[in-house]
Amino acid sequence: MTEKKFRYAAGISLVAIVTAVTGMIFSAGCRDGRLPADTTSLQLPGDAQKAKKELKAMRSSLAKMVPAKPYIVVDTHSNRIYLRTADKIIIESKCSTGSGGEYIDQASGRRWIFETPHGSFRINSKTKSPWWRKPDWAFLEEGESIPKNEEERYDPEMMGDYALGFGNGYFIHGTIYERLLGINVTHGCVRVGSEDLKKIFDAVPEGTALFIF
Amino acid sequence: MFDNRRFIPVVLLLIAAAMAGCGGKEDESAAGKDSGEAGELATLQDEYCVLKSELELAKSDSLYLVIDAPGERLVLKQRGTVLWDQPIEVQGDGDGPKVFAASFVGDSRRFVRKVEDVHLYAFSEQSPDSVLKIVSETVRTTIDRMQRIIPERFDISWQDDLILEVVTGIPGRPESKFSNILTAIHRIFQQQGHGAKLVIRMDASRSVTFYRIAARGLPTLVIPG
Repeated sequence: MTEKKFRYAAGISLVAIVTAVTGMIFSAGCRDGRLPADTTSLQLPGDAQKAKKELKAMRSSLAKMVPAKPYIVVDTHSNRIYLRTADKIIIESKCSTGSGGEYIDQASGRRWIFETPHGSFRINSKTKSPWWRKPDWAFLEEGESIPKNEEERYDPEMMGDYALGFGNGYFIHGTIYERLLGINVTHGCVRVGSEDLKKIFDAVPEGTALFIF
Repeated sequence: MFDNRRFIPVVLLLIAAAMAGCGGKEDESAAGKDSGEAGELATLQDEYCVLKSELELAKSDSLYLVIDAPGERLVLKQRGTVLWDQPIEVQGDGDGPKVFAASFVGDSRRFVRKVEDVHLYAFSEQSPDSVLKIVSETVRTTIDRMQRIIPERFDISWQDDLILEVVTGIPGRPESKFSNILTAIHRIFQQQGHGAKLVIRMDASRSVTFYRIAARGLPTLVIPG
């Protein structure tokens, strides 16, 4: 075998080995992981009538999980907020969600992570002209001391014209930094531009389902 | 003299033939009914598997992807509720959604699989790093956390050589040319098997979410056509 041919054969072999190893690595991932729903052994009742009855009950169970009225979806990946139903988007707008940054107070050791929580929630309050009650981190971040007087915590500007609360101090609210909409810059709340926020605020009652992903 | 008795065997034969003919039709009809019922039960069995799977996924409170072949759309759901959806716009002449879904389910009737791998071929960045640098200092986070990737092309694969490729048409740069070559070779080998490949086009802004969601391990439910 000439040296050229040998090099060529060695090259092909190398590519084949690398490909095979890569394939094994790629495919090793989830093969053994338990699937959330194993359908391979599911068996419907043999009788068509019973089968239809069971399917009807299952469809009903699934339908009960879905909100009957329009719901809010916050997509933290592309920083967008939607008011929608299962098959129709009613309002779509840019928003800003949590930055994922953290702040540690050196004096006390207290630590905050500024993330928007993911999951399913309900709108539990609606407020016009909301005042922001600044939490401790808001003072510490600015190098200020935490006020002893409760009244010093309130800021009438920061939350814009409307706020929709969804628990644990988190809100969908307005912003004075509209140029930053579309970027993850918040301390965990969801900021929306004033025009779209008004539309959403007017459209949803308390109790509206909210999904954040 | 005309003897009627001569015709008795002929008449009996005709009656027997007619009865046999009718009987044949009854058998055919019964067989048709059986196969129709079996077909109906098979369709119901598929729906049963899809519903049973989705109910289990919906109870888990985590996100799951639905590839709806008859509806030709991708749907991201949580607790049975649509959070994000996207029509399937097939690109090129690869397998269509129904063929892909049929391969996904396969002979083993698996309606749910987990994403096994995601490969990003090329991408661009949504915001200039210079802008994010200024913002990140103000909000005390890193540029990486704030930056969003706009994929030019990426693919998602499931076990048994099932590949969903997404192209956006946004010009991008490769993260690793070497890794792209290896993946491309691996995909060629995969295409020799019994898998399927569905190539779809997606709007760049929509692909930002889909790429970030389509992580390894994401449960995926298929509704066959």
